[in-house]
Amino acid sequence: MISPLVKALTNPTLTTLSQNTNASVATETVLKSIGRPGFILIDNDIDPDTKKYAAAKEFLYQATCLVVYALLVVPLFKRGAFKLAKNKIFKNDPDFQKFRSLKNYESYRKYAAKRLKDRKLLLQQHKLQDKFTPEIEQELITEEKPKKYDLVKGTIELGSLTGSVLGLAILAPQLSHAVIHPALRFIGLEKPKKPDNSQHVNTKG
Amino acid sequence: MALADKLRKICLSLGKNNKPTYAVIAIASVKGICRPMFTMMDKTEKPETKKYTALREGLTEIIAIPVYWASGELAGSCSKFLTRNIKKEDFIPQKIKALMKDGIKNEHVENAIKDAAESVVETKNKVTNNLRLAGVCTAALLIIPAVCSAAIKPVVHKIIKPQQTNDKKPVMPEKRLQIAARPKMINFGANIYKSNYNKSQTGFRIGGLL
Repeated sequence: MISPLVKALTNPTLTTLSQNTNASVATETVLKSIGRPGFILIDNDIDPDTKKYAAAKEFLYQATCLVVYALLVVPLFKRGAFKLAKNKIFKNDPDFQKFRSLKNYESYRKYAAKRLKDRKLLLQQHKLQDKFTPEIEQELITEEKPKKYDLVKGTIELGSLTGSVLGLAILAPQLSHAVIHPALRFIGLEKPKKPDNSQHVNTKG
Repeated sequence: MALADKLRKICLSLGKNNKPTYAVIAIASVKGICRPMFTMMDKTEKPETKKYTALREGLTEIIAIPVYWASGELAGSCSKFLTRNIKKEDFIPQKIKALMKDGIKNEHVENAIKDAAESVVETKNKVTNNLRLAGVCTAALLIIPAVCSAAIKPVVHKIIKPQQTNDKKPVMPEKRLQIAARPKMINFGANIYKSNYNKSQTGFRIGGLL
């Protein structure tokens, strides 16, 4: 007998989330943006103004990370990895040639996770047969458990992983440095910079 | 071609089972090196501030790596207790079960049993990975910030000892107002025409009172 807890834990949405690098990293970043500022704010050893400043700074840093992640990793690294593998690294691999694009593969995974009856119905309703190559279409219509194409999936995950590391560990700290201080000044948690007094106008003539 | 083969192996392994801990540990490791490095390269900050900030950032990631791994594995290990009651029979369709009761053994029955066995393994893997994700999320939300806020300050203070201020303010001796002794008062009774001062203090003398 499968318990309700196990049923909840094998929920397809949760499974997709845990198997997808993008989703798990984005979730983790969102949680960090709540947890870290939260713990700074409940620390009683810090001065209230410093607490506010540090919490806002940490929150802005994590928000920058999330923006960089959404803008950079998904469009660039995920698609890039798929294209690179399909056209260069694994160009002789039949698995890659069955899919036209990353979107095509993701769509296939979505349908493959469903039951055969539901899948057939959905494919007919949405007239999606033309979307897939004939081989893939056949697989979706006839197979109870269609192939998962682990190599394709792994390539996409490796691309996401590389993008996540580069985006979050290298690009985000640089970008946050440029963004955080103006944002803090805008909120009013940091005093605006005093005008530079080094250039004096010589009034003596 | 060796590189392509290695890449294929890595991709296949990631495709089969992508643990949620892989990504977070990889990010934390690179962040632990790069973030302090970028802080130290910043020319606008004071050297002392830079050292302090870089150390803090580095320590945060050093703490994060084992915590992510441990919480992921710990949460994943709970899967054994949750999935111990899952059996092949849970995944065999009713029709096949009826056939099995009647003692019929054909290709359909064998395939169904095989699929059920695969489903058991798949379900166990799913539960393990989803629990790992829950562990990683708990670490990101609660454990790492709590450990960092408790441990970082003392460690940083041990490594970078706060400067002992030698320029103590000299203790100023208390200034006492030197008030001239009050002249001795002599009670002369009710005679209001007599002066209250001593004879020696009366009259104008150049140079003040003697």
